[in-house]
Amino acid sequence: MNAAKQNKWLTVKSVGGILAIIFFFIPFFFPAEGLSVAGNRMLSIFLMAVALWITEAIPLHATAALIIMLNILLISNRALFSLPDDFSAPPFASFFATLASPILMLFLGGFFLADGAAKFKLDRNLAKTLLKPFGSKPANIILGMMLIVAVFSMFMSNTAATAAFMAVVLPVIAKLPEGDRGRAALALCIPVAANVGGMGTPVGTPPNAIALGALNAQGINISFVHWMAMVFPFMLIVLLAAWQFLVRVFPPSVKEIKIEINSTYDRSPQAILFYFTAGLTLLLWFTEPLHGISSAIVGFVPVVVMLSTRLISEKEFHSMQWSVLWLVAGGIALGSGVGATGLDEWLIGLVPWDNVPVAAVAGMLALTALAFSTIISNSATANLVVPIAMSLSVSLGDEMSRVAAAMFVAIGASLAMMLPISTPPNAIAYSSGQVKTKQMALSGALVGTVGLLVFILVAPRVWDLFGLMP
Amino acid sequence: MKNKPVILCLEDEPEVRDAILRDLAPFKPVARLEAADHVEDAKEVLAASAAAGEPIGLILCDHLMPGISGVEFLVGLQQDPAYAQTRKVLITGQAGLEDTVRAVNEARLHHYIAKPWTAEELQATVRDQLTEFVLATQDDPTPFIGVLDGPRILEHIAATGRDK
Amino acid sequence: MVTTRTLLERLHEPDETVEAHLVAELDRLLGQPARQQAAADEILFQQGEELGGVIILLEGQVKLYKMINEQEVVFHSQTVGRLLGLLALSGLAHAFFNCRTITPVTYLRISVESLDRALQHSEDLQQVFLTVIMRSMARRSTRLVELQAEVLALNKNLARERDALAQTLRELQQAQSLLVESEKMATLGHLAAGVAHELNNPIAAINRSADFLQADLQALTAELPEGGVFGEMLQRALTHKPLSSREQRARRTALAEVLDDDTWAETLVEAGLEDVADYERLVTGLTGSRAERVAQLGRYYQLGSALRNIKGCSQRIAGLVKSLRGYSRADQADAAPVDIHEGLEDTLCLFTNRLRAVKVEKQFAAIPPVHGHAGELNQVWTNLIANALDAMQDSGQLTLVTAERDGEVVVQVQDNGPGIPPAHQSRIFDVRFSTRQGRMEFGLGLGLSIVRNIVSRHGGRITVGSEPGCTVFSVCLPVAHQHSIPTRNPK
Repeated sequence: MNAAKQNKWLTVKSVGGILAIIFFFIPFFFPAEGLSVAGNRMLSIFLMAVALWITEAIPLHATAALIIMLNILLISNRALFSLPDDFSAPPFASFFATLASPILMLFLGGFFLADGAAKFKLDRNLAKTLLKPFGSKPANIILGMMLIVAVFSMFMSNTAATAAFMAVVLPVIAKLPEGDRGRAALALCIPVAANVGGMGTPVGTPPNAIALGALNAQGINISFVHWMAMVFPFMLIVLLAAWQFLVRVFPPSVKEIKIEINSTYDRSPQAILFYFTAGLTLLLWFTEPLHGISSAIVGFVPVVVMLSTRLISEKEFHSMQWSVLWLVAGGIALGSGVGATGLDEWLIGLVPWDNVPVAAVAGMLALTALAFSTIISNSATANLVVPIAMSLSVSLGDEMSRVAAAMFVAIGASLAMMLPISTPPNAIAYSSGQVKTKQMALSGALVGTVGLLVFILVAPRVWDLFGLMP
Repeated sequence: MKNKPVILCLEDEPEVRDAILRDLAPFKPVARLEAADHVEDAKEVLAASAAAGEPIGLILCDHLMPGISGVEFLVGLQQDPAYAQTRKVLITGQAGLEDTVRAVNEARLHHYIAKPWTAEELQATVRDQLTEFVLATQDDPTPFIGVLDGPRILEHIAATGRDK
Repeated sequence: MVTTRTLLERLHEPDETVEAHLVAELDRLLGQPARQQAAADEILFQQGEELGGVIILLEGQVKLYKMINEQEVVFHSQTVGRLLGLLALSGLAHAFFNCRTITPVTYLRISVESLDRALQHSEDLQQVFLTVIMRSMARRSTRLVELQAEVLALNKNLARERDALAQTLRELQQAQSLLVESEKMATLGHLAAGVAHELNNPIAAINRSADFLQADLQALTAELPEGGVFGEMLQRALTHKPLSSREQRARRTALAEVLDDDTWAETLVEAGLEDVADYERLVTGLTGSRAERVAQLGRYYQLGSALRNIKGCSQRIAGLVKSLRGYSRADQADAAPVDIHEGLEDTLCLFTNRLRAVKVEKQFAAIPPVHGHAGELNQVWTNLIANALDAMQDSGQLTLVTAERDGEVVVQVQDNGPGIPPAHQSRIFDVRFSTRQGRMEFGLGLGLSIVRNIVSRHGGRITVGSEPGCTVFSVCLPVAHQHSIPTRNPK
């Protein structure tokens, strides 16, 4: 039995592991010309990271840890093999410090708020309240659901938001007649909204944090509200486009849809304390230009409050999504290594960019991110592409800011939702059995196209117009 | 899906086995169905699944069989830590109170289905039990949403799910 | 003439002499005190009364008694003696007993003062008086010891009777529960017979419908353009013996090795396809993707399997119903020729679920019918088989032997259980005997006493031989014994 299975030792993972080792040693035996010793070493790490993050031969966060260690062993001031004197090796502690990057503290704050919201059922209660004004017409309900899911996934993980709202939507779908195309609309609207909504804030999804982390490493700080101002309006446009697409292509046959979410607001002292903490954190995040307290520091407020008041128990603390933070840290370490060794400049130098229009470069960056993250993890994509994007923007002079470059990559990664494996929200919707791969590909393609057009062609002009570009 | 959990149906009468397996067909997308007509055969299935790296998710077991009884088999299985998470269901018309009590106390029996069963009852039980197994053992229970207890798995993901 | 004697000498004189001497001495010293008379059944004194002296009985009889629980309890009548009021004299002052005359009596009543005076004057009187008192007291104390012994003996008798009563009660209760149990069996037998009869119709309908379905299905399939292969799949499922789970898995593994695809191999095997050649031959005429084509074949195979299962199972039910009817019929019918083998087979059939782990060996010889009640004899076989299975704990070998010997039919039920301890062998046919310590299993194993009862009413006998690993119950029944056999519950 399972004869076939036993023969398949040649799995993606084992191939990935072998490739990673081969990739790692290529620059040692065939050093790239015009690249320093440190640059060649960094190329080894980078190639290995590409192989590991694409194939997931080892867990994503394990690759991140490996990158941090290899950075220290190969290119830091404590490198095992000596580096040329003209290379100013970064202190090894700076690579460890990526694990406590301020941007991670901001992200951690997001985790705490999301966990608290789930614990006190604030997400579902708010959803009920917010869904009321949308009535019972299917198209309106779908719009309402999408807006709510998008808003929630701006603050909690896209996956959790999808899971929570799929549970609400699945019973509704079950009441639709078999073969009703509206089933696909309802099942797709949730992951689409969650994926798109994740773009909305720095804490919405890991690629945002990776982009911000890379910027932060280069001394550029983007506040919470600044990011929102830049992305949120365009995110809404993409969301509305997706809504129109879904209700037109997969119109439900019924005239009325009733969504029942039965729950009431938790009014225990603990819950009220949480509401207050969450409100305060959001208020401080939104008003950073007024008080100037960094959003990372604000992000630590709910961490301290909720731990010290036991709103988050020790057990809940242990089961937090720590692996995501490690993954982001690995990305930041990779980016700073690439920058410090001059690998980025060498990579950019491979292509004569002078003749390429800026919009095309921007489009290419976002498209690369989109293409990669359709197959592999969004965070891994951002980790690999953000460093290159930022050095590319530098080489273009002032025509494209590093902020825009990093942001395009993060957004491109979030726009990838054509396949069930593209994101966990897609996997959830697909596993519910209510969506066919073809339908998902169609809606994913539309969201990707509209998103790229809006962000590459329209957004930069608007940002300039309102002076949003730092 | 790789390494699907196995549902093992241990039943000596071929007609009854056929019927149970057919009732379990909806679970095929997320689980592999295996059948055995006596305990020795069931042990072969266990060994083969272990070799293929497939976890035993659920054992549906008749009680009265030639050789070792179903309860005896389940009690023996309880000694093996490899099957600590395996859900154990007795489906029988003949187990007396004494056997049932023993199954509950010593084999940690999870559910009892009396024959004759209905498709709804059997499927609901298997859905519940396999969901329990999946949530306890699988890193990512997402692929099971559509076939098993969707709301419960979604609840679990909502509490633990992370972006990648 | 009064002669002076020593006390020892006095003690050896007869009562009359001593008493006459006492009266003579008192007459002498107190100047002939007046003789008093009392009729029969008259009270001389009462318990608690102050006597102030003694009474000396000259003629007639009295009894001393006490009132206990408002009943007259006589302590002394023969042993009273001549001197009354002795206990009062000894310091109690009040009478201890009631004293009633039995015959008319003549007596002397002598006050303590007079007695004291007389005793002071005559040493002889002292001796006589002492002698009388001693004799009287000795007689009374002997009587007390006898009374005590009587009470003990009575108590012993009482306890014996009480034990006997309790034993009888226990036996009565056991007999009653056996009776209840056998009544339950009888009721259940009637019910079973009724249910079995009722089941006949649906079972017949299911059996026939399955046949009709099969015929129609085959006709329908034949009309299809692909009827050939579909019909073949249908027929294959209907006629093939179902594979064991092991064979099925072996076939799947073999196919998976050829195809290098587990899921596909599983699909093919479930669709009833045997190997790749078989698959290729059957799908050639079909249209659609390979999965669709196999699904079409599979559908007909599944139809055939389902039909085969319905037919197989309904035949099993029909067999069970027949056995149940055979078993429970004619409990109240008149004695008739009974086929022993039929009864044994029916009984075995009803034990199917306990026989899964038991090897049953039947050594049946050609035997003539036995005259009797089929239902009751079935109860005999049921009890013997149930006991054998109990002894073997439902796994081992059960051997049933029939033979004809010297005009008798012999039926042996043999098991390889641990055997019956020799100490029990002589008692197992007792009404009271049970190794089940009060545990009453519903319906079965009513007890061998009932079995023996039924067998002996059929003019036969039952014997047991047992050693560890082999226990044989042999029932011998007379062949064609034409005398009428009383039914168990005569109307």
